[in-house]
Amino acid sequence: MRRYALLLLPLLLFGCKSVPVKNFAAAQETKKISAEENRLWVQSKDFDSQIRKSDILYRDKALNSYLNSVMHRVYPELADVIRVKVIRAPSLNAFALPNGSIYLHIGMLARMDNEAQLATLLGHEAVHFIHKHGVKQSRNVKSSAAWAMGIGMATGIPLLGNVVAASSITGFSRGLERDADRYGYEQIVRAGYDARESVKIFEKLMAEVKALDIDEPYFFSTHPRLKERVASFKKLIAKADQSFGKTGEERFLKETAEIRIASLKEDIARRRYRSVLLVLEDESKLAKYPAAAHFYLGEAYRMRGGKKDAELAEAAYRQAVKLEPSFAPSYRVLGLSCMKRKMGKEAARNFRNYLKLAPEAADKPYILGYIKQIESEGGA
Amino acid sequence: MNRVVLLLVCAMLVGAQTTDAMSWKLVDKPLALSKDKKFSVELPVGWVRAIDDKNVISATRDGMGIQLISTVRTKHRDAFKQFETKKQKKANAKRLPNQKKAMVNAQMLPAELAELVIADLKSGSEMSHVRVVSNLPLIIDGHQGFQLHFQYKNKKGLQFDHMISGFVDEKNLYQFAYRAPSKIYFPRDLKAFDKMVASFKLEGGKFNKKDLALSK
Repeated sequence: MRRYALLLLPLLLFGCKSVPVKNFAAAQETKKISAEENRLWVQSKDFDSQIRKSDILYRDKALNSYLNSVMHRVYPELADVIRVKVIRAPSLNAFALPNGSIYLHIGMLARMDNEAQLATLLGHEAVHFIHKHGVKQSRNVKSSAAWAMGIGMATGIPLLGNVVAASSITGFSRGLERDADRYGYEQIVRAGYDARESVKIFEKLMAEVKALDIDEPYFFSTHPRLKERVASFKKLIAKADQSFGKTGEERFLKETAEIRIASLKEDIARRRYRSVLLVLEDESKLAKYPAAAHFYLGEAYRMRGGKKDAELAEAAYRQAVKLEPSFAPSYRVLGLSCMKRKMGKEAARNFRNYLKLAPEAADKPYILGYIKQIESEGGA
Repeated sequence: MNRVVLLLVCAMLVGAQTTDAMSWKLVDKPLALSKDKKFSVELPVGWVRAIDDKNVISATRDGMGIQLISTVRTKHRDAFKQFETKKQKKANAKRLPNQKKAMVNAQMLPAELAELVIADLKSGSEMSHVRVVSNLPLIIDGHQGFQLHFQYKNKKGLQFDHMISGFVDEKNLYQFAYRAPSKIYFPRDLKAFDKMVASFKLEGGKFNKKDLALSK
């Protein structure tokens, strides 16, 4: 509590003064920041450092380079200052810190269909930094404290005690969010992206939140907030002329193939099978995923455990084997499924295939045990 | 620590501050019996231990933040309840206590049980980025079980090693947990944990009068 008080005191003092906040117009301006801003930057750096230490950064140079190249295209004048990073969490989240660090959760990236949607999100977040929404928000001490206390540790990010990070993650005031929508939208149009895509990502998030009844703190934190984003982008699109730019789907799907699979893996590891089903039961979406996605679809069916889910799971596993014969986990689950149905011969064959493809698998001792058991029962 | 285990241990420790019966006591004899005398483990002499009414036995040598070993028994229907969907919860609420559908059952393979434990750990925030070091089968008191070893960093970047072993029988899930900072403490006290797991005994004529007398 004492730490909170110390953090909040300067904010409270600054909140009393109404020094106008000037947006960043160029990279060099970020080197001349006020003492008030500097305090927020120090907190942001502290948060960056906590993220780095806590092992939750998704470290992939090629992906980071791609994301930053999109950012560069949206905001060329500040691209060297803004750094886009990825967090290994399957939740639907993205946020910007006052020092220009923008974080995307892999779950959020995995929900996008193309580069135009990615650019929308990056453009929106970049406005929070460029228009110094962190400074504006921090003057609203009561709100910041409430946010910080409200989100607790549920985001999966170590941010206790960091008011700045907390308010950045759970969203800014309605006015500031609208500001981010509008200026971000202008930038993506200028960058040559199809602005009609801007609304789609929010519509999709809204549908997912509604379908899954998600109650975790996440991007725009509440259903009404998402509704506002959808309405706001629809208004902006309606005002635009009809010459729309590119969606950048092909490049996006290629650059994010691994991370989309990583997101499915994280979802399944946390038994968030409903999210996986929501994405992959749509055949058009499934077709855009690497073949391993069939395995995760099978896992999601298995976890749901409904009447016909065992059959659906097995069909999905077999499809994964057919499309990607070198993907070891499919053989493991097929082996387990056959073993439970007393199909010893097929179970042993799948287990052996699994170990052939993954000789160092963490669960190798289990699998060897199962093969031994099948052999001793005369099933192999 | 596994969230289920952690919750139970925390509940026990809160109780320990208010109830004499649940307070920490010096381990002067190794055998520790659960409150209902349905299972026992051996704890290292010289450590302090606490046994609560909810079938949790815990021990530490230097304090819970340094190292903690615990044995916890949970009924099938109470294990991993956080993974139940709202629909499943609603359906369970209408069922009689002995007909409630549980996430855990006696037919589960140890590997499936270990998968649930990992999901439980990953869905907690502090340990959402755990790295599984090993996941091995383990026989515990004649039951087929598992032993998970994993690592994670806390929010200050301090790395912890964590072991969870467990098995299911007809009615219950048994879990054994050990957590300590990776440097110095974890390797130093690992033997105490291994010994606790190896010494685990369920009821069924395995306790003799001498055992019972020793544990008092």
